[in-house]
Amino acid sequence: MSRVPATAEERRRVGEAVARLRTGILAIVMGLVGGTALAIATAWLTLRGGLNVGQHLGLLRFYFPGYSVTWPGVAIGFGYGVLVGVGVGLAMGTVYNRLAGWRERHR
Amino acid sequence: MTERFLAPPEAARDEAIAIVGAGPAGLTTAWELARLGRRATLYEKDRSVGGIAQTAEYKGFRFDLGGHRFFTKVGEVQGIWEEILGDDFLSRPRLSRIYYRQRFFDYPLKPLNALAGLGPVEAVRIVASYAKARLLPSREERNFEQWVSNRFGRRLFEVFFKTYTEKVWGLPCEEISADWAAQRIQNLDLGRAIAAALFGRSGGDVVTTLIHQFHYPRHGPGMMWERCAERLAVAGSPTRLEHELVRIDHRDGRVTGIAVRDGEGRVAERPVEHLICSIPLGRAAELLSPPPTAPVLAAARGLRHRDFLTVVLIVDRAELFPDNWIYVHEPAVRVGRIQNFKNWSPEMVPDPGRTALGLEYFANRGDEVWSLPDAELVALAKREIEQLGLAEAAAVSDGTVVRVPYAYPVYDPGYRERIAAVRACLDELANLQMIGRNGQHRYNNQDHSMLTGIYAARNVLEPAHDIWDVNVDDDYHEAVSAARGGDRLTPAAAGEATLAELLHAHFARFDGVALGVATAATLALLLFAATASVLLVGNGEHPGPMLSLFGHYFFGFELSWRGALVGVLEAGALGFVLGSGMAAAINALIGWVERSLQRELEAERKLDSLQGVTR
Repeated sequence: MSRVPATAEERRRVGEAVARLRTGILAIVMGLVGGTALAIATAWLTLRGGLNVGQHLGLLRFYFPGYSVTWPGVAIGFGYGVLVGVGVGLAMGTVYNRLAGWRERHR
Repeated sequence: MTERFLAPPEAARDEAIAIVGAGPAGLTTAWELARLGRRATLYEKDRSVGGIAQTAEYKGFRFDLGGHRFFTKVGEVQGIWEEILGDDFLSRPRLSRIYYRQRFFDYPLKPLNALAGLGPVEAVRIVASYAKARLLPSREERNFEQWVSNRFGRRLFEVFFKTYTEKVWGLPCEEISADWAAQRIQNLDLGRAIAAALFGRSGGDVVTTLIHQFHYPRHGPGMMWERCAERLAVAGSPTRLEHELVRIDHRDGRVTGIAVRDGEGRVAERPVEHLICSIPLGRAAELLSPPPTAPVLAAARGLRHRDFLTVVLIVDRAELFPDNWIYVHEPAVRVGRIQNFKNWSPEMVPDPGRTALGLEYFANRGDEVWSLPDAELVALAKREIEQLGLAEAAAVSDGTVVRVPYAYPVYDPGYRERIAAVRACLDELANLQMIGRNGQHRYNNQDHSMLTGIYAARNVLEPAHDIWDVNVDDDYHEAVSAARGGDRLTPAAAGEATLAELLHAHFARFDGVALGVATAATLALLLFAATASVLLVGNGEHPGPMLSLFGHYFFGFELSWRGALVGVLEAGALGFVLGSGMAAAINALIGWVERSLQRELEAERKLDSLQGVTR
């Protein structure tokens, strides 16, 4: 690594640098997080069992047709969680990068 | 002719103005000086004027060294062309295509045409590779390969960009700067291009015009410059052909004289009041007497050029293909581009029953291709033209070779520093101006070179123009929609990342406003979608009651359209606070890490200097 200390100009440039989100990676990560979270939540309630198991979580079937708080629901919930997470990640990454780029150009 | 543009000879002021190099830049300088009532003498090393924009001739067949379309956005330049060429300034249809695997592809590249031409298997590979590039792009975009692959996918890069670019520049694509790709291929994206093809979005009038036609002198670009030189001679500004500059004398910050060697080897000294040069920038520094410092000389000698040679084949066929030129992406042959001069202007050939092709081989002076004897080059070109299926070797009745040194300035690592060093030295000489492509070591187009000449001429009367500003921030007009893969601009080399760039990449701060807005938009959209879907199809059991619980947090939120809008606003506000707060927290953490690293680096530096003292 260069041992030359950064100049004032370099320090200024680094200070002004604006990070970008890698939209694809963000979408994949949020998809995995979303899918895993819903799968774990479903599995946990299914394991606990009992009367009216997952009566609140089960309401998600309104948004996710075929979903239920059952073992098959774990896999289905994972799939839907991934879909929503990917969508959220793509939307966030795209909006952020566009806006950050625009603001940087008009700074 | 001269009445409007050139001052009559008797009115011209005698002043020792020397212009070295009679290409577009030098001749335009003399033209503008004549218009301003000044005479000049031009010195040209070659036997003909025009520089790289000259038109060579072989047995009545005229050919261009590289292909020079005449297009400009500079009114003064257009005016000079029209004034000199008059009715001989033709408007010509343009067709240029890419040749790859025995097939032609549209140029500028049209993705649907490319996908169709490559066949279904290759098309699937290209689309898959494009999808991968969009989802998982290369984080680094330092070189040409990364830049193009991120936008087109790796497969399309390999097919349509890699081979030709490497043929032209003689450098692997990973060593060519991404800046160059961005300059050359801006605004073209596979997704957008497919959308444009499907939905018929137009690229705009200027671009359409550029793609379909261009201006060209009836007998090639040399006609323009030969005629210009003739008129200048009449106006009292002669061109001395076969006169090479061999020394630039200077004293007290001014050029005092030059020495030129004529075709017979005689060296003559000439006093000058103004010297305007389009010879290679480094060469000018080398010719200084007294010579510059060793570092300046080293910098001057380090400025490199890419060269090329044209093998002209005379083919006994009236028609071969309709293109003006073809980019050869085929990796199996060495030829990079093929010109069909008859399609540039029918009067480039003396016999309509025959065709002259120019096969262009990009090379470096002294390399294997450059050093091949002419006969072998003609034989190679005949073999390759047949291999490509564009003409039978047996139909080639004759051929010749023209070598073009100093064709393209090379932007290799450190070239900026070298130019700065040479410029700093030459700028000390108040009456010396460097113009044109090679004089500035910049890949100027013909019109930009001419503009440097116009400014240089005006500076003789009153130094008011910075010649080095020409073309710096000017987008090349064809780059708007054309992926040209090395046609006009020269690539900069991709260097190693500097420490500042690495820090820039790794310690960049998040934009709090942007992350706030992104989070706000996402949260608001999710809440609105959840509420609206219940309102729209809320029969039977639905999560409405659960959703209503958000009312505890979002004041005024309820399961109604009005409530949904209120929820959107409040969820948006919450999202903004969350997002910008998250950015602030991340930035604080990044700042802390960066400061720690800087402290470590500085401690290391101090340690190094201590070790240096004790060693």
